[in-house]
Amino acid sequence: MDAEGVDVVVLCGENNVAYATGYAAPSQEPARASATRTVALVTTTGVRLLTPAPLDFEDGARELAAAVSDYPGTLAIDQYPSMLVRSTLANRSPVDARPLLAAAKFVKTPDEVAALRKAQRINERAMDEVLPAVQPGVRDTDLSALFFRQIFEMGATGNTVDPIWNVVPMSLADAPFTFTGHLPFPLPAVGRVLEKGDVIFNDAGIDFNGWASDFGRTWYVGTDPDANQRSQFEHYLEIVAACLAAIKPGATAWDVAVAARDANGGERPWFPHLYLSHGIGTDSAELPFCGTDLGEEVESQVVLEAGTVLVLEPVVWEDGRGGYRAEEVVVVTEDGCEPLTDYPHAPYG
Amino acid sequence: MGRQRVVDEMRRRDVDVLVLGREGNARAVSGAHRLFLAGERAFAPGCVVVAETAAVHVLSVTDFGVPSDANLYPPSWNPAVVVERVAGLPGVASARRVGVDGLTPLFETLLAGALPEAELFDGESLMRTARRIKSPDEVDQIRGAAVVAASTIAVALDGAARGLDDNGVKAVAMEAMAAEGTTTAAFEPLIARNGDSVTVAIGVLRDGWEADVTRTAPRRDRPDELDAAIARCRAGAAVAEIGARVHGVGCGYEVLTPDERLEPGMVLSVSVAGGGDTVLVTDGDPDVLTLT
Repeated sequence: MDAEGVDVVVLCGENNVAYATGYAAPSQEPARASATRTVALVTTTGVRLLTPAPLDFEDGARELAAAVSDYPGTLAIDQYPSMLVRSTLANRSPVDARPLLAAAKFVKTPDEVAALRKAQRINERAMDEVLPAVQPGVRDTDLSALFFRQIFEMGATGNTVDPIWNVVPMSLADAPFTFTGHLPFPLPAVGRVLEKGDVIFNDAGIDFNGWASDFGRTWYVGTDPDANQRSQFEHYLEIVAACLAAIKPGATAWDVAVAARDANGGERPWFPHLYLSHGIGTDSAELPFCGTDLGEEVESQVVLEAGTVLVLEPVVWEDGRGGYRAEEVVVVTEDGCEPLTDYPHAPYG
Repeated sequence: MGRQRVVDEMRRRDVDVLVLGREGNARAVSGAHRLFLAGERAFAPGCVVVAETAAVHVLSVTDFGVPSDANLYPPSWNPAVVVERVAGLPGVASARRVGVDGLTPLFETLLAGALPEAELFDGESLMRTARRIKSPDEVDQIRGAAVVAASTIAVALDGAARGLDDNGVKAVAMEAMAAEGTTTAAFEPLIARNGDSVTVAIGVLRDGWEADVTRTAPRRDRPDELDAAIARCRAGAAVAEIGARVHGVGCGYEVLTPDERLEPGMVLSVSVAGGGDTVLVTDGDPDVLTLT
């Protein structure tokens, strides 16, 4: 705030509120979250939380504006929950809080890394129970059921992402349409019955006291991987190793993307509509992003620091033979990086 | 269907284009089934409705889960590119009145730059009006969610009765919901204890449509106050006259104001201490969807 010359920051987004104040909203569908949101007013000397009447109506917008009027000076805001809020704050000429938030969130404190690690552990222990159930005849939604049972017994405070058990075809020609021509990952669970030989790209994320996890692996249904699949996995490890070697303080987001691309013969080993890597914190995906369509010009300006947390999610794809995808969460250290993910790549070990 | 009601309302209010960021709005107008993420997100232009063409455009890399009568435009990590694509949709560039259901400082700047002649104003009140009354097909969707909510709460109450702690009740309830094929909650189980009684609220989002139900173990009977409140859910009554906590139910939570008058086709969540149901307002007696 000091660096940006801002006197008060109005945070309406629940992940921003969690980041700035530690208040974690209950896990609920978006409209309920919007209608019941808690807003944070942050100054350099303190934080005020308020839960106004719904901000889609005059009462709520006026209530928020009245609270904000206690704080003169330059006002920054992360989002306008409604146009009524935009109108009632117009006389304050709000500036964008996003750059200030992004700068603050970019480096995690040791406590924040510990919170991410805790969320990741719950996610991983839950998958210990799911993996043995990945057998012919089970439905994708049954795997979600098992996952939920485990995470809530272990004290997860929310499930953030509808768990993904995406059966991927061997050939892109057998996949639904996409603008990019690559796979339309992630597709939600729809009650599909898994069959012997299916290959699943899974992806899940939970919330623990406001902090996110991210888990991804490739699993084979009822079969051992064949020689092609083994070589895909070996190649995945090579790409991850190249990324890990590139990740250190001073490296840019673009450097990480280039390292992955170079390890893959010059082709981008990730979904073109997504990215090689994203950050994680109170948002399940936040800065820094590596390998987006923003490209070199933007990503070469994003410089990693000790405490930056990255989720690598490279994809090896051989059209006609399928592929391998997994996720590795790492934290940048003083001289490199270390893993937060602690999970095997079954059945490879 | 949802799209026609939205387009009719746009024409009535002389609105050229709606740019929608809220997932419930996008679902209601397009039927698109995109990946569910819990919690609210900042506004981004995820769905566009054009009055002139009556077309709905959905931001998605794939057509999977998007009904064939909706059009697609591709995502980008560059917000300026997304806004450029929105401005390039047929009928958008010439729009003068553009409704939005939220905004961010960045998208305000980008939309103003891409549509310099357009006035941005509150589109949420229009969506609220268009979504208020449910069609019979939409009520059937909510009935489907109500069946899952009812079976889920039975499992939750069994768990509470055999002494599970809050995490345990949540765990068996969420497991049961997903085992019924619904993997998204409208809200994760809410549990309140008072001596030996345990009150559990369950909200499910089945194919994007909500139903919620609240019961108390071990008695499980519904409070008299709840029946009395539901009996007051008749066409013409004001929300404030129901004498309970009330909100609308559809593609998620809908806020109702106290002075709002009930009409047939509205679906309500009605709850009092210890109990709650999802209720359809009809021409006659209210229809309790969560009593199965």
